[in-house]
Amino acid sequence: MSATPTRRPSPPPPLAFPLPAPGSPPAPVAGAPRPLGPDERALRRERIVDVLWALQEERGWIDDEAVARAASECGLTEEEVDEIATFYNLLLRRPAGRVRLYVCDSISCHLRGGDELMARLAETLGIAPGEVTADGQIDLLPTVCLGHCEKAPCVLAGETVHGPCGTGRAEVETLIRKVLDGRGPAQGQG
Amino acid sequence: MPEILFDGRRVAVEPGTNLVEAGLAAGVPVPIYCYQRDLGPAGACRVCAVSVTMQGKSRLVMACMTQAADGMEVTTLDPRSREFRRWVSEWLMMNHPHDCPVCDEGGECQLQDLTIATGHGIRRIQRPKRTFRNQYLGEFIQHEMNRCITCYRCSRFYQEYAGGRDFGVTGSRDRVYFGRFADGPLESPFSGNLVELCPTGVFTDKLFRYRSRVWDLEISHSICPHCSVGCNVRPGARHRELQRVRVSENRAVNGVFLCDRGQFGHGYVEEPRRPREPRVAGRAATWDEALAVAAGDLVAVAREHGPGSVALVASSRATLETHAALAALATGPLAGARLARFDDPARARRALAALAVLARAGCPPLEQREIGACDALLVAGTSLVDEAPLAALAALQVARRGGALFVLGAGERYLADAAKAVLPTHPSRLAATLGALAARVGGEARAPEPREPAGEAEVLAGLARALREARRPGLLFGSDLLDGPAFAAAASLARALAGAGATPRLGFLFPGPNGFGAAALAAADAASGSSPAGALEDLLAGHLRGALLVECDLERAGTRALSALRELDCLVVLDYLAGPLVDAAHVVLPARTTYESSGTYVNREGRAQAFTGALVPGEPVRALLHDGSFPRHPLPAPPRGNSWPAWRALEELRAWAVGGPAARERPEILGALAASHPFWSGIETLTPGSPGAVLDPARLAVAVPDLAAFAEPAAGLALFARDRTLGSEPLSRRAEPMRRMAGPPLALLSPDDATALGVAGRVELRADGQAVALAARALAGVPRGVVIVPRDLEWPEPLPQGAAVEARALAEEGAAPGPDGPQRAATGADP
Amino acid sequence: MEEVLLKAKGRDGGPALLEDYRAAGGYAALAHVLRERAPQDLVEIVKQSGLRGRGGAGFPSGLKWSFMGAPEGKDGGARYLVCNADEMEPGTYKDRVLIERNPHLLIEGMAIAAYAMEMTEGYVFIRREYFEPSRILERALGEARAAGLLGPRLAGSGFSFDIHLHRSAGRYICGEETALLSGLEGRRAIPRAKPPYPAAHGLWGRPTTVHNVETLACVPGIAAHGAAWFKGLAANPEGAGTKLYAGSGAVERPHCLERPIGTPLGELLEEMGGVRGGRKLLAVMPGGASTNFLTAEHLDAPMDFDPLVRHGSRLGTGTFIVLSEDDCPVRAMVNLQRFFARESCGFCTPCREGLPYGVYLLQRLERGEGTREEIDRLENLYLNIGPNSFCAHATGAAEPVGGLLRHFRGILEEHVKERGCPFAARRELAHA
Repeated sequence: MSATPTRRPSPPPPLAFPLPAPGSPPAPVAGAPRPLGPDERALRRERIVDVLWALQEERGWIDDEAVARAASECGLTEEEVDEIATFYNLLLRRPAGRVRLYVCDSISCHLRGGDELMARLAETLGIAPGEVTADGQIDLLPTVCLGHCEKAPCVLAGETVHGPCGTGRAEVETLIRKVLDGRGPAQGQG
Repeated sequence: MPEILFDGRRVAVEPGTNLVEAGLAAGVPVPIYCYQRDLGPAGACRVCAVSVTMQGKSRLVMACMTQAADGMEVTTLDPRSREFRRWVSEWLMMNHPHDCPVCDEGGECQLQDLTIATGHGIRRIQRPKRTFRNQYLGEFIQHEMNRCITCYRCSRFYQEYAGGRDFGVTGSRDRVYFGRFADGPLESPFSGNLVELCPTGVFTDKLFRYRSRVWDLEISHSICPHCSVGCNVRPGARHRELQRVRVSENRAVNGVFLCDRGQFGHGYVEEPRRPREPRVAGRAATWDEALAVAAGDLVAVAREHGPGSVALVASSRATLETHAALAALATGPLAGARLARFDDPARARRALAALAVLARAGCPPLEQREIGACDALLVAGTSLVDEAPLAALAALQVARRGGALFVLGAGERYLADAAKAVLPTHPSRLAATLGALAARVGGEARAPEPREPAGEAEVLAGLARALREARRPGLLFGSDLLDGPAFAAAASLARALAGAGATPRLGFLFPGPNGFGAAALAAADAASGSSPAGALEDLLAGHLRGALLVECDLERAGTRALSALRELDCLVVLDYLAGPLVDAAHVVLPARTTYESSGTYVNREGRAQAFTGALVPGEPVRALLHDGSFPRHPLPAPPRGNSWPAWRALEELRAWAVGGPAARERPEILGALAASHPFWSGIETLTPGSPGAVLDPARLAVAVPDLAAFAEPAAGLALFARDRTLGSEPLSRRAEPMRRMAGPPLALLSPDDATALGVAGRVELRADGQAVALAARALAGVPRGVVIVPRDLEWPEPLPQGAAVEARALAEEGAAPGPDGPQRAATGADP
Repeated sequence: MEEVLLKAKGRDGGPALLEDYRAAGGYAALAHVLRERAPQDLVEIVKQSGLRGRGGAGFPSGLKWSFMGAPEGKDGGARYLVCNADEMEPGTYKDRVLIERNPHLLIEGMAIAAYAMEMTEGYVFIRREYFEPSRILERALGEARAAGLLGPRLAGSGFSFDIHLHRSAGRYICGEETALLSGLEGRRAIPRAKPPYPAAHGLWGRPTTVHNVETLACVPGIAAHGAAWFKGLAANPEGAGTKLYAGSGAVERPHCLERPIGTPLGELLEEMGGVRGGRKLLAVMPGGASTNFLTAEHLDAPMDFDPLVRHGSRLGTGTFIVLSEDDCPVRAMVNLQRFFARESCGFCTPCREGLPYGVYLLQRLERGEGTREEIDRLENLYLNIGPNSFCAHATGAAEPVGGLLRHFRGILEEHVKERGCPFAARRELAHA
């Protein structure tokens, strides 16, 4: 076999302990100049959030299979992926509704009726914040400040921020219709 | 050196010392959870808050994150830091389950101690506690996440220090979870350290679960007998059971870490078939009867056939005391009996070869504590994690600290990811490769040989440069995969480096916990001419008439050798392990395990370390229970507990066979050894738990043993056997649940060979008319033309290292197990 | 006044495209600098300009740049400029507005800063929720690359530099520079211990400087017109430059606008139509959720770094949150502290466990279940959390609690005495 400095080739899962990730680049040849930036492995890892997001867009949420795919995509173990997947607010590790409706509950929205908006949405949809409607259409997700405070109270659905949202019954019903009809590229397939 | 005032005590510390360490130097233990010396400061738990006054300004700092500076006044006693530490305890106890009565950590729980010490008593927050689901983490570790105080010690050790990638941190805020992606055995062979590192009871020893309160344990200073590293351990015993083994901090050797083999491989002590009573001709006997018969028979054989027809054999598992007592037996009517210090002739020769190189190289020994401090380290001729796990953990630190780690190996897995380069090297080519490296170190750049794989020259050039330019270069060689020329080449490499002004630290692995000691004794035997070499070979070939086997593992010696032993006129076995020899022996003398006796081992560095026993052996109390309760009145003597340490039994045997008083204390027997040669001086004064003494092989005359070169077979594959991390050496092989966790043996092939042979799941290996079938796996790092099997693989007749075998792919039966070593996914028993 | 940061205008309210930006004089500074200035001179100019970080901490930018001068970091390897566009401080949206309107200003600022600090690559770390700003920035980056303003040999000079977009997935802690670097590397965004500082050991262990969007956007102006010009833009003598201010909460017309730094709070509030519905002002958090309350007596305070510190608060991001007389500050504080507890990364104990403890106490007080002892305990709790956590997250959380206790202790006590919220009735009226 070739005696170039070896990493391992792609080992079949399950990985028994620290086997290098499939397809990781060969170890730098000894004596070559010290790498002065990230190696290919580091650059693959940098993509993990993008990869997870893409998988979530495709499947609606990050299921275990998505974790496994992200792992092989980025040269990580499933545990290493899960460390990231469970860290970010926008990534879901539980089944999601078709439309993820992120409702800001931070201070600027709070001061302009954010609590009332959330209460009205929950009432109209018949679910509690954090739940998915029975028909799987809407996932009501309290979230932190969306950075659109001039539109408070506001919500994010797909890639669109809606606001300022009225908290009246009719206004909220309109909002729900609007986000259900939204056909932004970010909508889940359900 | 900065001088500081710490709680009123003046202390000077090295520049860069943090305030936790400075506190210890001043005799003030600053509270800590997340800080651990080897892992370094983390700053997560905040319990080490102290007040620092400097130039009239006072502020609260974290001791672990703050370096001592000249003129600092540090106090742990002021109201501000006390108030803050009390808050830290209150925060940490908000969600802790307060389940101390059923927690195995109770009694040695840092959280318990510091919660009390910081003055937190009442939980002032009335709300439901956070709860987590626990995971199945294998047979060694029990998971109880609700107890977690989120100090990050476990994940920092597991991922950063030990390179594990299957365990980590998920979640965030006050729902941080330490575990695996899914239930399943932890894959790192160092997982047991989580038990010791966790400041509370999240990770506890499953083998010890609900067995004792820790304050009831009898504990001693002992040495791990599972390999030649010589880690210090604290066996804990109760009710005549060895209930657990924990690491014992010894900065001179293993520091504070231990491998899973050492921590969880102790089940052999309570193996049900263990010989616990003397037996004569298959029947229980008293010691006096058994000693009388054994002495009488051995002397009778010596009288009838000459003392040279009697072999006295011990192994690298036996203590120095035992070896000394064995040699002392060869007097009077047994004078001239043939001594063997190893139970495997080939390994004996390799151990002697290693000792010969160490004796002549003029290099300081590569001590365990020095491995991680090397800035360039070559590991060659071993899969280090399989043969000496803790040495591999130390070697990984070289890479972690930015040093250059190189591996010339066959099937190295653990270090591959961190190493600068891994060069899979056929054991038959290791000598040539080391030779080429030595030449490069000396400044020669040889033209590549015709058989030299492409790219090798480049790696060797980098390696030579790294070693030559290193401030602290190190060379660490295995043993089982080295042939005669490779030992010679190792010596030339060390010399070449010394010649280039970069004298390396030099180390070899030895078989067993006392391989170095046994080799030194064998060298002395050979030098004094007291016993001609070849005793074991003659014995196994059926040329002798009587034998005394002390702690020997000959069950893999093959059917021919076993029948030769069975046909002896007299076979006396002194051991604590069951096996075919015990069944065949005319006289069985039960011995004590390491954890039940005092003794001395010499580890692979040449460090002699004394140990003491934690328990008196005997039938465990639990085996005597009838109604489920413990006996109210202690029995006068432990039932089936009448064993001695092997050396003591040998002394009694000498009194019967040769006459004269038997030595009853270790110093008596070691004193004689110490007086025999300056190499051993001081050996009788070592105390358990101390750094011991490093013996200098340069003081010994070591003859270079006759050791042939491995030949690359013309056809088929070259077979090499080596240990695997768990369950292949004689002790952990007999231990549950180690056997289950280790799984069945596995053959490792190079990816090229595996493809060429079409091996997917199982393989049949054939040689000399015998065949074995076992699971197989392709592994990068295994050189082409080689098949590696674990040493515990059973062949009808053993094959020498490098023997030619034919490999044939077998149809896959079910899923193949994971790669060799800690095959934690295994469910099946040994075939 | 003349706008600097929002000077270039796009068409139909859209972003300023390359041609719009050029029409407003854009990229002249970069061309000038690449031709005329040595990197070290630029560091000096920025130092003299008095530019301070616009992300919240107000660290002198020139000083930060000078940290990159260490010779051991100049070994021919990668050196990074990272733009922090995470902007997750509640009430803060000025960086978004800047990117949406004038993306090339950021690109030019980054290129000049990278030239000055001899960097090889740039990253913009942007929060995922900024979908539109990300698209705008991607497009602008494409325009700049096509025009040779990014990439190899910028604008015909010997300097090469490119910018990548890293889109995060929402986590406040990513605004902390070392956590941001960990997040960018694809690791858990947990703050790292300092030292080593990013200038020595940053992204992938390489020399790195992290700057806020607005800070970098100030750079082209300074490079083109000099330090004295920049200082002269300020409304108060100790300040430098203009500032993007934005209002939210109980203001009539919440929006983002550019004014000389040091413009008094009252003036800015006035420009946004005053307190919503003509109500009386209760309090203002001048620079986001982690800044201490100001009250009506501070309306003359110049919105600049040092003056606000003198008033016991901080400029922070300069995006202020307004509470009216109808808003219960205790209820607002429950909201704020729930945010901080939820966004804790979970690394250090005071933040991870202490902040939920604070939420627990505040909720009890807000519901009228609290006691006087709990008010004292709340104070003692945050006094212990604030200065003793690993990074600035919990410190920031403790700031407004300090303000609550200082300015509104009476309201807290009223909650205890009345066993309920004295604002509840008014709130019901308002939302009836």
